[in-house]
Amino acid sequence: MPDETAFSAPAHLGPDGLVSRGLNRNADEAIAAFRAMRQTIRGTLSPDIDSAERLARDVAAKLGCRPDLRGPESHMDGPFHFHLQDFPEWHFWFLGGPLT
Amino acid sequence: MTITTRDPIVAQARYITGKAYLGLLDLARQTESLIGLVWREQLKFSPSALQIAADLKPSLVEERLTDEWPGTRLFGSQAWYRLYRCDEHSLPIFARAERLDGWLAPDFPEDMSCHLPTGECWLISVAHETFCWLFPEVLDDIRGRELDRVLKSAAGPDPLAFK
Repeated sequence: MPDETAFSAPAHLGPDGLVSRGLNRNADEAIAAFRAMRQTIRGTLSPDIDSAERLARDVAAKLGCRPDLRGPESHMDGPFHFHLQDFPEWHFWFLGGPLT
Repeated sequence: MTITTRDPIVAQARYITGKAYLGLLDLARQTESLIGLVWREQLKFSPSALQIAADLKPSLVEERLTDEWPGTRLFGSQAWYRLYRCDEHSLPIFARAERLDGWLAPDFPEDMSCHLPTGECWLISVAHETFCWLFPEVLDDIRGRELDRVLKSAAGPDPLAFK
């Protein structure tokens, strides 16, 4: 059974803002989708801050990196997100952030 | 600190290295700019990053614990943001990073920014994102053109090229 708390969408930051398409049902699917993305500023969009944090820790466990987080943070008034400190390329964006 | 509303040049900080990086520092010296660096409380820093804070202390102008600095806003955590004079003492210390996105934990403080003495910001960087924003129009014509030349001397295929 997929872990429903791990639901997220593949997402990237384009010229007009955050673009998300599709659905990841768990961390494995999120990792596969992330690896398939070609955009420079890429990651996942989660329904809220807690699920984004859980997904980040799940991804860290799957990839064997430290679960230490950077953020939440926003750059140049963009959408708030986390990173794993060991994996800054992945943006764990979430809905309901301080500016939304 | 003021961030202009004019459109910045967005560039990949990873390519601003070597001669181009030293060119930025020289431009900061010429304009008597202040240079900002960040130590996030959330991150663990190595002794070398703490040594940089100690070495730069004679050039320290201002420090504050904040959740916001040029280019970044935090939610739920804070960082020490320190502004330094760019002078003969501090320049060799700023050169230690060797590249703009070299200002990254754990071995370095993060996110170098440059500000005119009036407070206007002409360089913002976010090292872990490897991006920077440059505001040549904040500088006078000569220095603005020099900033363009620094960008053109950057390594890599094109520092402005990203998807």
